[in-house]
Amino acid sequence: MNVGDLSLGLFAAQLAARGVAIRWGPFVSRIVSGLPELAPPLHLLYADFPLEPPGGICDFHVRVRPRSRSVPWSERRVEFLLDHAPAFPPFSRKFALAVLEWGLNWCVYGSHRFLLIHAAAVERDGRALLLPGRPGAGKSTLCAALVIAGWRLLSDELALVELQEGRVRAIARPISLKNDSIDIIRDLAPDTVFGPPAVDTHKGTVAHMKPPSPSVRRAGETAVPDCIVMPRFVGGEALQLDPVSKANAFWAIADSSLNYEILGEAGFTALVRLIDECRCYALTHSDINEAVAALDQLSREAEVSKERYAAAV
Amino acid sequence: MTVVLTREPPPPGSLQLSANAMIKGELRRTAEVWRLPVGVSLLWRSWDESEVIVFNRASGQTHLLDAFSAAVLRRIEAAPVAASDVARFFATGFELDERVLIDRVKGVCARFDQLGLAEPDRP
Amino acid sequence: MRQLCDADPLLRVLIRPAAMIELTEPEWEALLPRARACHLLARLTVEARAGGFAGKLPARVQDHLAAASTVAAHHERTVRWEINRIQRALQHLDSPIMLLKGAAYLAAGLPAARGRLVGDIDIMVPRNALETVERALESAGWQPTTFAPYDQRYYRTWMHELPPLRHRDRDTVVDVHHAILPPTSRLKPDPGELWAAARPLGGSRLHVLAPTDMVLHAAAHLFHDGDLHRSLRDLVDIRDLLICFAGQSHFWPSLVPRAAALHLGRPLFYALRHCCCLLGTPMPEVVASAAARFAPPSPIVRAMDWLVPNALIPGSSDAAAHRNVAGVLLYVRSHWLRMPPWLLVPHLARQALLRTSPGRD
Repeated sequence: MNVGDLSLGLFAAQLAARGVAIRWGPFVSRIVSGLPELAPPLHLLYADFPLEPPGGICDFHVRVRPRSRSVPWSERRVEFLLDHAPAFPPFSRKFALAVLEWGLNWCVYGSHRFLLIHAAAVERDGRALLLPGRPGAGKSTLCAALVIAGWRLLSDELALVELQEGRVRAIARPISLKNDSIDIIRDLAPDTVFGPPAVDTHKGTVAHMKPPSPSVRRAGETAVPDCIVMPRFVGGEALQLDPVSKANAFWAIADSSLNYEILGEAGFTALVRLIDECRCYALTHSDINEAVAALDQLSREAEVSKERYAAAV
Repeated sequence: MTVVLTREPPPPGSLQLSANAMIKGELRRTAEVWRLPVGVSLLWRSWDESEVIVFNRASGQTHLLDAFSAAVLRRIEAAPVAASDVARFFATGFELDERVLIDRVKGVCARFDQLGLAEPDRP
Repeated sequence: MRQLCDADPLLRVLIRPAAMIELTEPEWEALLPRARACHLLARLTVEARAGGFAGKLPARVQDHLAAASTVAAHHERTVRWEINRIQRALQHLDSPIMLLKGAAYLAAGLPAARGRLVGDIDIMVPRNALETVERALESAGWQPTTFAPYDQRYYRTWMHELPPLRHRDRDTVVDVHHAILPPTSRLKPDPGELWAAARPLGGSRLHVLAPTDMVLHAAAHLFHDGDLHRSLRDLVDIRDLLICFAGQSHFWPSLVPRAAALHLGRPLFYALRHCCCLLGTPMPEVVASAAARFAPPSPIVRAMDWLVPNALIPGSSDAAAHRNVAGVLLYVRSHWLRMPPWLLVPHLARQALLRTSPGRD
């Protein structure tokens, strides 16, 4: 049974009471919130996500609740609790959905059976394309555009690379977009479904794009890492897709990793294997369609590209 | 978050400062022998010769070395060796001036000392 | 005092690790965050693996245990390396170095080190070596963590005398002491006594405290120096030390007399009492009775019987108001024990002011 199989009323009632246990990728989180404004967007954005049957173990207990009740509504704040403790300082209540999404990302930070990388990840033909970069590097926009172009969404923010098998896992949660990116994606695909935007957050305007149903349905399928492309958006620049040395790619990924140093030797070994297996590039672009076309091309020429790449670096 | 990634060599100028900080007069002997610190073992990986990744199992730190620094560290890892011998080895092999190289080798070794990749051997 | 151990699954599995197999999935779901909150999840992993039943636990539980174990391994590696670097930095000095707490347990290979998360490294040096040690550490890359004159005075004059030192590259912190409790504290265990009994490690200048002193230091740290918040891990340490040293023939007979000599009787009384009641730690009756002479008046004993479990052990819901009260009371108590009253009020007032003023991170 999926979230969308429940009526909104029933979903909202459960969310406020015992909470709703939703599976996303390898994780199950029980989400509790009595905020009435949270139920509709969650019901919408997570419609395709499976509900975990009662009795199992949830990885994360999360709750979004009001912080202060005695001030005017506009000044009220909400906090995100993981396992009954606040994970970060409270935010304005207007950003409740964004707070929940940030918080769910936060939950993943302790999952040390994976090498965790600040990267978007998409898949085609069983092969994963990783787009690493710090928050704000433009990877989420590119990720959303690739997904609209037919790639399967693995993750928009955190790539999970298995330590043992080296494959990339899928999370396939809503894609978080900011400011101009929201309009770019709406222009690209006007029928894209978004949750309500949060305006004037510390990151500007934030809105969440509903993940495509096939991506969510296939979230249990892993992908073999194939390509690492470090994106950079520079207004007015012509498109450039250049190979980068593997040592530099190693460095960039280690720097973008949340837990590389915690993993110790296992992290080093996993990252070496990842870099061994991937063609590594830097992409500079100013036009999203050109960028998508270049990455499509890169993916289609997988075998030919491997030889060309090996010759170039 | 602990800083565990270092990129070598560091910016110009800092090598000499670090050498002076660690080598306090009494250590400025060219016959000084360098070795890996006790307990340190290294994992290496490179995909071309110009940049080398080395992981120190004891510290959990990862370093990106240029070819010269990596070559010096390889010598030290193989067996305790005097800085002057390392310089002579490279001078002979690459037909370079040993006197220029000795300073560079000592600077690199001093930096390794700060990072825990090598240290002077004390009797 | 009521026996919590049977009712609370967290205490139950700490006393008898094999009880982990008996836990239901809802019990695990409640237990995992509590154990994680007091830094004991990695310890449970160690016990499950040592007992050979880790593979029989639910798959999701195994994932969480493994993640906690990875973090603990990272801590252990970090501590071992810091000890290595501290030795390197101080190798030209004559001064002996005493490792304290987690770093000591690890370096000495004690069971208390298993699955432990270690924050700062605590070392003790003779008082007359403080300056040279500080200079040597600073030239090797450590820097004082605080530069505000008031905070420097707080540390140098009132507390353990040197502010904590943070390494500029590794971001790790070493805390250099010359005594195990602050000079302003009412309890003044003589550092000379501690050094006289200290045990050297291998052939190095590193030392650790003698077994009785290690227990007494842990007790003083928990019951005198700290506010006990979620410090169940520290009580487990004490329990581990007691069990480990119980096999040494001189340990139990010398524990109470040593506590008297070091003026640490009161913390020892609390440590033995709560190790027994919360963790079911076996101890000779004669030792517990002897320690009872250090007890405070019985109303205070009863108050602490209520305060301590509520502060030490994280609850399973976010609505435990009485835990908050216990926490506040014990925070105030810990400062009261650390500083004379005329210093305490200006200090707490200043801390409160700093917390509410804008622009302070």
